[in-house]
Amino acid sequence: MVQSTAKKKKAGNTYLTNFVKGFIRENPIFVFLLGMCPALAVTDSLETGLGMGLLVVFVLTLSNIVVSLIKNLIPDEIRIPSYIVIIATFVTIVEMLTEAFAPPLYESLGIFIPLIVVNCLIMGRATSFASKNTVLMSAIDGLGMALGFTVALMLIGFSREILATGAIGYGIYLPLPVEGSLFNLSYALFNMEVFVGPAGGFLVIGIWLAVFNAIGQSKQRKKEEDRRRWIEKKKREAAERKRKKAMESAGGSA
Amino acid sequence: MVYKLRIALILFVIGALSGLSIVAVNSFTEDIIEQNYLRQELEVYFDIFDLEKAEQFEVDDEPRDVYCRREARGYDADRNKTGELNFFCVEDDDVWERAVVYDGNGTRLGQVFRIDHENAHGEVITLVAFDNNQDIVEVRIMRHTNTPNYVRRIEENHLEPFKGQSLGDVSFYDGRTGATVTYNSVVRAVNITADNVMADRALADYRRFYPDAESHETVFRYPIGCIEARIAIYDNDENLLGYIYQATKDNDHEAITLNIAIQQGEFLGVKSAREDLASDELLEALEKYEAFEGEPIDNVAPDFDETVYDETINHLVNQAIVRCQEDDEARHIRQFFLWATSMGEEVEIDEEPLLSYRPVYENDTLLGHVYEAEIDTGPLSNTYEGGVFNVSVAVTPEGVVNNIVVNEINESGYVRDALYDNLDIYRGIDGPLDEATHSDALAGGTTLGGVINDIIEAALAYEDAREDD
Repeated sequence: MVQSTAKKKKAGNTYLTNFVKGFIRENPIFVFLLGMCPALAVTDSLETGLGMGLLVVFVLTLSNIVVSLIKNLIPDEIRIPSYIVIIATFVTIVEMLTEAFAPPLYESLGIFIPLIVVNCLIMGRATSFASKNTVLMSAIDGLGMALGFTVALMLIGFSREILATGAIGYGIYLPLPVEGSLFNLSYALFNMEVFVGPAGGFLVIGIWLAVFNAIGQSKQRKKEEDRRRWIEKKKREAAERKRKKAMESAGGSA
Repeated sequence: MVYKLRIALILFVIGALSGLSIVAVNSFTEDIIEQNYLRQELEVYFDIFDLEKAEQFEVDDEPRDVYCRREARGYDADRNKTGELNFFCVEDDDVWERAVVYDGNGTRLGQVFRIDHENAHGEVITLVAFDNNQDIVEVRIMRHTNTPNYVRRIEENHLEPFKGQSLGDVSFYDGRTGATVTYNSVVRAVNITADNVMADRALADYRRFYPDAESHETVFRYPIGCIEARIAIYDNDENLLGYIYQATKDNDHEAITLNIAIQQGEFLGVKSAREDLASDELLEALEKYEAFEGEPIDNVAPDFDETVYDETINHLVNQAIVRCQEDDEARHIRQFFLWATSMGEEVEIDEEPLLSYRPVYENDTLLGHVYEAEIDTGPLSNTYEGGVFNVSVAVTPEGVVNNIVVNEINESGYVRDALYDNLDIYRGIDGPLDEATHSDALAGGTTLGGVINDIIEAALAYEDAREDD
């Protein structure tokens, strides 16, 4: 009974780890640099970033589920073309749904919706994860990775929009019940139009990559420092033990 | 083998399931997407002309008449009409449709041309809106599949300069827009609109002489002296109402283009072809010629000498009258040689496919011979009936093809149109047809091209033999 509970707890931890890894530790954009094309092209506002992210959530989760479901039926020779057809189907479906229910988003994302088909994140997760794992794990992986991708797009979109306009619009591209904008800062610092253009995209992504790298390196340094301390501590303890042992043996002989 | 079949089956099943899923979603979203676009489009039309935003639209898809495809009316929250749109089909392939825009009181505000263009990056649908004075109200990119950021840049920076420009004289901003392909599509849309509107304006000009004018056709293909074109004017039933001679002359100050109307030997008047651009002095000078309106052309001999324009106008009017007199006398032979005045006796030829020839003169000077030839191809296949092709070829004494006139042809639609388009390539040919000429002609319809080739080669060979004799 105790063993079964521990097993369940361990499985739950695995699911959770699998889900959250895409947010920071294995973030597709800031760590693996996957899906950079939409990350640069459609993140000139928070809403478009969020919109693209949601489409990728739909496509990645469902394609992971389907790939995982049929992984044993597909021979290796036709793995890639089959996956592409599956991904392209979901992209076409999501494109039609966006065109029907969020026309401004569809117009704003334009050619970048069909281009989701060639997003390496989606094909990457299908070949490296979904084709080797269970349906549930694949679904969780797809959802987690796609949400991590979405968060990254939103982060870039937020930075670019606020720097370029001093405000964050909502309800413009997504079918929200209200339309408006947040912040409305009118300082000169927040009117740098360069951040709307491609150059701004590169700049912002570069800055965020630097931030993520800095955090990663700081963690790594801390880890190494802890390890070094632990080794020194162990060495000290061993030396102490050795010294005590030597003293004991010296006392005994005396 | 079995393994390969298994692979094929798997791919087939995946493809079929994929197709079915897409079809299912498409059938669900198709109508919604269409409605979205319709509403979005109507809102754009309203927005362009600053009409009050409509809460609700009523679209009447039933054609009101043969020209009108549909009507749309917008209403505010209190069901008051805020605007109305009448959409018309335009036969020109380039223009999808034309919408006439009215406000809530029924006052006409202007028109919008909706033009689609497939450029290297995809489709661009452009709306070109103009008011009743043919001044551009706005140019807007309605829908596109080009790179969004580039299009946005054009929308933000490069469409504004179009506002307020006259369609008769549009100057484009510049080509350095960062997205030349998309901007070129926009420029193309403005050009097409301008051409169409100017054509309408030309008809409006012609109605000053012929109030029942509904269509017009330029008869002269090449300028003769200062007469640039002879325009035949037709009414709604395609009855010929009369002619307008369009003449241009530079009088050291400016190029003056006049429309001179002559109907069955009667002088109807002379007006500036571009009154919107004409100076007040020119318009004033033209008023004097109203004295001749309604007179037989033999009595019209203007000789005014009061303003700097008079000499030019006198000359142009006299030229038009002379041209008209010549046209009446030699209309049937003018199609072969523009300066022809008479045609000699018909001489029969017993050399297939040639039937006969007739010499053509300008006064006493021989301009050339017109050969009449006929080929009956008979049925050529189960799907192609063939038939009789009767063609006249005008050849100069030097053995150069001057013109080709198709008298009888058992073709219609695309093949015939393509042939007429390709006839131009034969003009100026002075010997056996080379490969390029053959290919160009054949592109207009293999059998037809071949028939014309044979006739022309026969006429040129006969003319060559006559020269040798």
